[in-house]
Amino acid sequence: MSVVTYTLAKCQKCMKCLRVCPVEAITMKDERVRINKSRCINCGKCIDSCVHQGLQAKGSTLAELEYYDVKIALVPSALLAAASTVDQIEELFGTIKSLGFDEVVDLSPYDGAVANELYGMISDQKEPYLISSFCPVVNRLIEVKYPMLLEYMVPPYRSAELASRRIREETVKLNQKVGIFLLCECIAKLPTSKYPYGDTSSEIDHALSIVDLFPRISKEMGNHRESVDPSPDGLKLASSAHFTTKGHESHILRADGLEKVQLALDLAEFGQLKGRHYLHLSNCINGCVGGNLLWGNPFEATQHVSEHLKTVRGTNAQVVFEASEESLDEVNERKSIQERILEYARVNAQLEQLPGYDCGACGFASCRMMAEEIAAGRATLENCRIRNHEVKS
Amino acid sequence: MIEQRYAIGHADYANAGKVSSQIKSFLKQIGLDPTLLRRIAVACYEAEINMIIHSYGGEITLAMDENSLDLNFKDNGPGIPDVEKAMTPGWSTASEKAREFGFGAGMGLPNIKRMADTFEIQSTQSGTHVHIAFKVNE
Ligand code: SF4
Ligand code: SF4
Repeated sequence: MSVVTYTLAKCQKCMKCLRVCPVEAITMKDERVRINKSRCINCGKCIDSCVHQGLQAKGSTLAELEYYDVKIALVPSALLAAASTVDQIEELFGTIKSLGFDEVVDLSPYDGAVANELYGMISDQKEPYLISSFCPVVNRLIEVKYPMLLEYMVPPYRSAELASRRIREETVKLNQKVGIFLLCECIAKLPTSKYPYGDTSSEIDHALSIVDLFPRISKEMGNHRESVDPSPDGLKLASSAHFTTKGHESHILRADGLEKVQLALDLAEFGQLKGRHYLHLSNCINGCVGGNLLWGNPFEATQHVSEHLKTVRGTNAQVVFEASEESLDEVNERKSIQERILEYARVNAQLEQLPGYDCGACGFASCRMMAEEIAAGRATLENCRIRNHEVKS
Repeated sequence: MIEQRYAIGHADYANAGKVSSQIKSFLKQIGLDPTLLRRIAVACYEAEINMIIHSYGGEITLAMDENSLDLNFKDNGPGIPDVEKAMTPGWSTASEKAREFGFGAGMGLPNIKRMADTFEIQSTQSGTHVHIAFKVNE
């Protein structure tokens, strides 16, 4: 489910977004951007590339709080890295609470439990490898572009979901309307709740974008305090530079940022990551601490984690891990191999007529996509501006 | 039937793996079964790297229909002196090891054979020809 929304009135038709999308999910048709919702991996690259604010990703707003009797905020481990000291973490928690919550739950003990589960898997693992699954962008990227690596993926354990399930169990007897609000450090986590993007299987009610809360947090900061006991393992899961387990340092490959992630996955497909047992992959620089909805900078955040790790001693949550049934939905109805070969040949015949510049001027991210459209009868060779120019001159 | 040809330059380390990448993305577009795809990708990559390291260059050809996929790796020499030895897992001469620096040593041919459904090799001084084939029927 793509969270990217488009505002026609702001769009200057510069087509920058088309070119940065790593999965060719964006096309320009009839003078407007179209996002292929089932192909988008929520990496945020298009939003970053647009200087006209034509693309955005929004969460729910705090106005939703009023519909609940008990309001609970879930704070991701990554946000702890925005604070420079443990003291500041406590101020931050107090401040978040002051926005209208009854309770603020630190997710680091749950992330710590996930990290521990991973440490166990890594120690038991022989070649080839396991691939991390904490980053929804990486998970979707593998589904869309690296299907041969799907079998190596760790089951998707989500700390926020684990915590929410526990909160539901503990609060059923209250007989009150309990609202669980997840503060999101990245746009990819916005669709993991009931609202605003409609994941009905989730126990989380609303996803909030941290950056949208920032003005109110910064105004209130310093006036409140809430005690917190963060888990070191949880912090390590969120900061890729710190994720490691004793005796297996050389077996772990960490890659952050989509370019590095894709290079690692390309090599993994060729069986060329010998000696690595676990790939720790994140869309954001330095891991979730560099999340695209955080206001800090990822380098500073990593440093903060190093500092926090000197003093924090919180214990991990006790959770039982069962394989979750998150479905990797197989969308394309399968045509026979014969049909697919024929189709490829038809597209190739069109592709040979095109210049191969991948300029995007036709509205498609690559000449291959354009060729597919022509082969399907939805575009014609005349839609290629470069070709028109050459034919005329 | 789809046929494709790719040239491989002599000691062209800078482009090592590019042909395999192209073949891999072509097979993804076709939408082959992921497990089969991985066997092809691994075998193709190893064979391409072998050609770059050990040969004077040559050509990779691919032919595919709904029943099978054939890959031919033909180089222009100097040939493998003892093919049987080269098929022993882990085998590599000292000088070759040096040349394979950074490209993972000594598992080329046996690994390729393990991945493929059919494996044939002929080698003379004027060139080596590796033919591998995979059944694609689903
Ligand atoms: S969020 Fe990423 S995948 Fe989705 S449309 Fe934008 S650039 Fe493409
Ligand atoms: S790496 Fe970035 S996009 Fe991925 S889960 Fe972490 S914060 Fe989100």
